[in-house]
Amino acid sequence: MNREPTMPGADVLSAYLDGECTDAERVLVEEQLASSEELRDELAEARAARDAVRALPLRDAPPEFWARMLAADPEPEAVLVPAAAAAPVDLAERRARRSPSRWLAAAAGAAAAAVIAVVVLVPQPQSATPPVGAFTAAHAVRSSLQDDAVSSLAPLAVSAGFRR
Amino acid sequence: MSRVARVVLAAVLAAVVGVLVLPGARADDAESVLDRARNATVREDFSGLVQIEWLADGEWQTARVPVTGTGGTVQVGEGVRKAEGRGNERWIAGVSGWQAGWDEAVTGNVPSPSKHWDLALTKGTEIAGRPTLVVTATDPRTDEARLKVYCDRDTGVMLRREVLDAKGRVVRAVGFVEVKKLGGTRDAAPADPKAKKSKDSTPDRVASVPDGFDAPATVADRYVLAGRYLRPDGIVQLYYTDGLFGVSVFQQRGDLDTSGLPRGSEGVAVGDARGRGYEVAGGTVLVWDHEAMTRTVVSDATIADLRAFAAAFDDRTEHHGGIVEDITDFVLAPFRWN
Repeated sequence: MNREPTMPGADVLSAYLDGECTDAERVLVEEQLASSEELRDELAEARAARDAVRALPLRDAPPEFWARMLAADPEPEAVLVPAAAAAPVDLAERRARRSPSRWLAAAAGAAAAAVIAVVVLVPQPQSATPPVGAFTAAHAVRSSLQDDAVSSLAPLAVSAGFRR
Repeated sequence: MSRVARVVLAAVLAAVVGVLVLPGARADDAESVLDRARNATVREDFSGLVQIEWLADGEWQTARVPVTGTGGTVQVGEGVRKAEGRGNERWIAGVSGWQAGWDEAVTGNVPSPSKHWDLALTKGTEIAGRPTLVVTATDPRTDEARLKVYCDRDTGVMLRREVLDAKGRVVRAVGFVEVKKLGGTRDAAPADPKAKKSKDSTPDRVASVPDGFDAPATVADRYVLAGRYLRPDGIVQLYYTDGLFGVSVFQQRGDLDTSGLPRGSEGVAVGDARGRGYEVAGGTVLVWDHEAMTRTVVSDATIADLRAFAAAFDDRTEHHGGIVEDITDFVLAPFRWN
């Protein structure tokens, strides 16, 4: 009797991409990848999504950001626990704790990152104050080459009439 | 009435008409008078006093300038406020010395004055004691005179230029109020101010404007682009003409910041935009912004004509990016600062 091979779930594929699989899971995924075009496509899509998020530009946080974060955190010590003091993590357990909607969260995160990137990358509008006196003189000069020189240039010899 | 009397009467009538309207005067004659006037100050030596008159806030403003023409060099003003023109070169003197304002021949397709104007040549009133011929340019769309150019009958030198509004009222004029010398023996040209140059503000003529700037070949179906220039400060200057009125367009990146503008302007509408307008000795000035570009136009045309020009310029430079740009604008609109 042929047994339908078990397709790895999205969380296993994600872990495979991130190098967080157990050896057994990695072997299973690679066997399935070898025989399933559908799975290869799914893996390719997942990889593309991950790469797209990683390709977004990194921005330095403003200087006051971390101070504000720490001030707002009710349990700052939880943030400050040294990595060496933390208990060893079982990868399978850690993966099991992941929310089933991990992809949804990832997509939301990517969208948020994209929006932030767009906001950061959109140039702040410039403003300009025309030097109208200089422009008037430049017009007089150019005009004098096409029209009568005396009447065109005469305004250059008087106060332009702009009030400061 | 006897035959002799009829002949005499006819002769008198012909003489009267001939005094009022020059015999055989045609648009061609008027155009040749204008053409001659453009170069007359280079051919003739002269000296005198020129008065600039302009209407601002309903009141006439005036300024007087001594002028001389010697050996083909035109000088206006005196002391630290003067300018000089010789051939294709222009120099402007200020407190820090002479600076070059122009140094090359202008090229480009310039329409003849009669292309958009009905020209008439008649005998004019005396200007500064000199008999004149006057060329009147009438707008064929309204039958209103919009420009009068008075030229010295003997030398062809332009003695007065009057700009009229749509109702035929003079709103700006520049002309001699005193002529000390006109024509006669030519003197040697004064020393070239180039040696005294301290600064160069000459713009570069460019074949095309940088990305983001606009330079339509025609505006309002009558103004023709006669030159594109890039100024040392990165600002783009365009020069348009309809054959009688020249208009400079200056373009800078960014939205208009009015906080640094000189006082004395009035709010004006430019198409759908709001801008500021000035009436000063150098002409009429309009400032506004359009699609993140600040634009300034300068001309001796009336402010109504300049507003029409500006709105037409905006129309010619609308950017339609299609559906992609529309979607981008929709998404980004909440993040824009204004």
